[in-house]
Amino acid sequence: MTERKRNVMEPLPNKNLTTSTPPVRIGIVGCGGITREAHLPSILATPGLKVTCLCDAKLRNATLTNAEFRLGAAVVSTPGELAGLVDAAVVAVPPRFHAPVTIDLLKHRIGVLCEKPLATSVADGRQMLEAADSAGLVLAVGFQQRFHPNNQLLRDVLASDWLGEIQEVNAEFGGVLDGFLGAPTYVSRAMTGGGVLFDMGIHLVDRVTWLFGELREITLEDDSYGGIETNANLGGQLTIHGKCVPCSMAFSWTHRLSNRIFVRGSKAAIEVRIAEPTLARLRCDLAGHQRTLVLEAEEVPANFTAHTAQMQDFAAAVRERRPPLVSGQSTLRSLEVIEQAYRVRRRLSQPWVETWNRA
Amino acid sequence: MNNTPVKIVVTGATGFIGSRLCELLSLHYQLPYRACVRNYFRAFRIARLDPEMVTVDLLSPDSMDQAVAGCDTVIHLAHADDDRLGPAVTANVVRAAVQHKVRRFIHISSYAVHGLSPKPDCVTEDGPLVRRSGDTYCDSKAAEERIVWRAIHKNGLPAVILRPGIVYGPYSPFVLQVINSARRGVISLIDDGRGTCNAVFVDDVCGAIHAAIFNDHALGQAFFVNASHAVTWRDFIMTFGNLVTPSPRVEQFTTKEVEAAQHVSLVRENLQTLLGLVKSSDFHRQLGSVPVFRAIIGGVKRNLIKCLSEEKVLALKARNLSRPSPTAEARATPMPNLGRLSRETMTIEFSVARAAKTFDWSPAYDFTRGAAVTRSWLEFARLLK
Repeated sequence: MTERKRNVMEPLPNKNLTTSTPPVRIGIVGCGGITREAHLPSILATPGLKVTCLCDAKLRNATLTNAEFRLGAAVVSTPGELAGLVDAAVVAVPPRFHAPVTIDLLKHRIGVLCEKPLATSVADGRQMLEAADSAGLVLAVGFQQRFHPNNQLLRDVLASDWLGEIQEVNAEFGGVLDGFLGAPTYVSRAMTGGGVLFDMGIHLVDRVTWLFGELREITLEDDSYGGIETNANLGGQLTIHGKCVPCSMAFSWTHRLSNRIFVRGSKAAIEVRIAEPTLARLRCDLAGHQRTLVLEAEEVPANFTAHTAQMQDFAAAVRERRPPLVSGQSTLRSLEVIEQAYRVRRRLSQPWVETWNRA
Repeated sequence: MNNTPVKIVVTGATGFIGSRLCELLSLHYQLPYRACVRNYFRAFRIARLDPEMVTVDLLSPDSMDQAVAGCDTVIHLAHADDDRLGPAVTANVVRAAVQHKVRRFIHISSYAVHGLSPKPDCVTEDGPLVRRSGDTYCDSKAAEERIVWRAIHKNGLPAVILRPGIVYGPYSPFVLQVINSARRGVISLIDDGRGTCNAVFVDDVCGAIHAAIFNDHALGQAFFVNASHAVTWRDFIMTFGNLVTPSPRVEQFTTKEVEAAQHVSLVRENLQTLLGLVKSSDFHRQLGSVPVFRAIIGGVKRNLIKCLSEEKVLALKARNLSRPSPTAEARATPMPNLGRLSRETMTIEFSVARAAKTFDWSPAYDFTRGAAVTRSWLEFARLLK
């Protein structure tokens, strides 16, 4: 059974949820791993949302997901079929389909939370923003790390004089991916916009540029030999407190990195780890001893997850017709950084690869 | 005759040797190839090269036929550590190669085909293949090689069989085993590491594969692929283990100690598994679904609780919760397993004389040089601290 069709001009349910408030009807386009592991659990954990339609080009994927989560949702195979069945949708298809699917949904008056990256090119991203603007609908992007409560801790410390003059920003994100992937969606150059920088690194590129502003004088070294890169070192300059600060970022799919943002100042340093979203570690000199002080964000729900926080923000944005925290417009910068980085890329030195040159 | 292949199909392309072979095929040998992939999460390393990748189920005849179609050379690296699955995969790959009349079939075997304790006549490639050693890896590799020999003799498959030793280099599981152990603070030697380590640098294995593609003299034969000189296991383990900072502690074990520990651990494992089953709430639930057992279990539990004070019940529960799991205990004990015991107590140095004499290949790396290249990768991968 499907939900009744709602007139698009009908006001959406009020933000002050009561038991009688009708839920926001959510559709999901793309029923792969990220939908089952992250989006659906966060939707189900968010009050006032109801999954009313699942869409996948392989209808079987949608049917199985529907059964696995006992959703009782309609099951369709093309995004256009969501029209009238949902108020908003999560787009979780491979990156090269983000633009066409999102634009299609927006044309059908459906607000979108699109998986990161926004698109495979800045040009496609701009078209998506135009489509959202002309429809007057929400377009959010899945950069959950912006919801980590330690972002505010970092901002508070930066606003104080605890660190002294900022000398360096370093960010790293890397690890060996485990699991099973039966299709070359994320590894084939023809099917994706890039490798570790584009797919995983963009989380930190977005977070760093959101926290610190524009990254200039961009450099990139990576290990691509015509295919996707699995290791990438991104460099550039940030402007913090009016001063130029070197920024280095490293990303890897072959080995584990420190998985943190680290800011070193003349007096102290601060570190926020990706795996500890509510904490920040301040390293400073106390009475001649190097100490680490752990700062903890307050008023964080015990069951906090960044995915759920973003889903709640998206639902509220749809309901209240206001911009989401991670608006499409605000994510264009990270896509621009990556596009520019790929233009200036150089080969990362890996002497164990080109061994014949040392023979 | 021009022996340059039209296209090579590589099975096991995302494994340790396969990934390095793909790098060399793309960047150095510059030969056209198709990489067989099952799990693309393992394909990141070769995806850097933008190779032709095909999704292949190595057990499916249709899938394998599609993979081999249009290729005249097969390099078969795939291996399943299962004495039925491995041979089944090889049988399917060989069948497809015969059906598609490939020009060359290169089978990557192992010296393990001679068993856990090869006899001295195995110093050359003519030693007998093991029938039933009890070791899954040895038995499956031997069974796979027999399938290839049968196809050589019955179907005229133009095959070359290569039997590498302990293949090391960047991403090598043998190296990572030592490094991971060293990072936990302890490395171990069996019989002071006096056993022979037939180490061969991964590029030398790829070099042998490359030579076998081009050299017709190698057809229908098996070859050991090793460095010119073997090292001891002490050399191998200490060289990599001592790269880690801080330096790990070295534990010494004798063959007898390892054997005894394995015997004890087998008995203990059986008992623990049985006890765990009896104690598990899942088992109780299943058993409790039978009404008569439900009544018995319920009665026993109620009577037991009646006999104990509330504090005692809580203390018992707390003890169960705080007890370390057997797995954690086992991890803390650096006792080598039987696989290591057999590998590291072997004293045979497998000769590469036949390979050197028959086809144009000789190892380019001695252990010092190979270890230096491996070290540069370990540093990059931040595995030395």
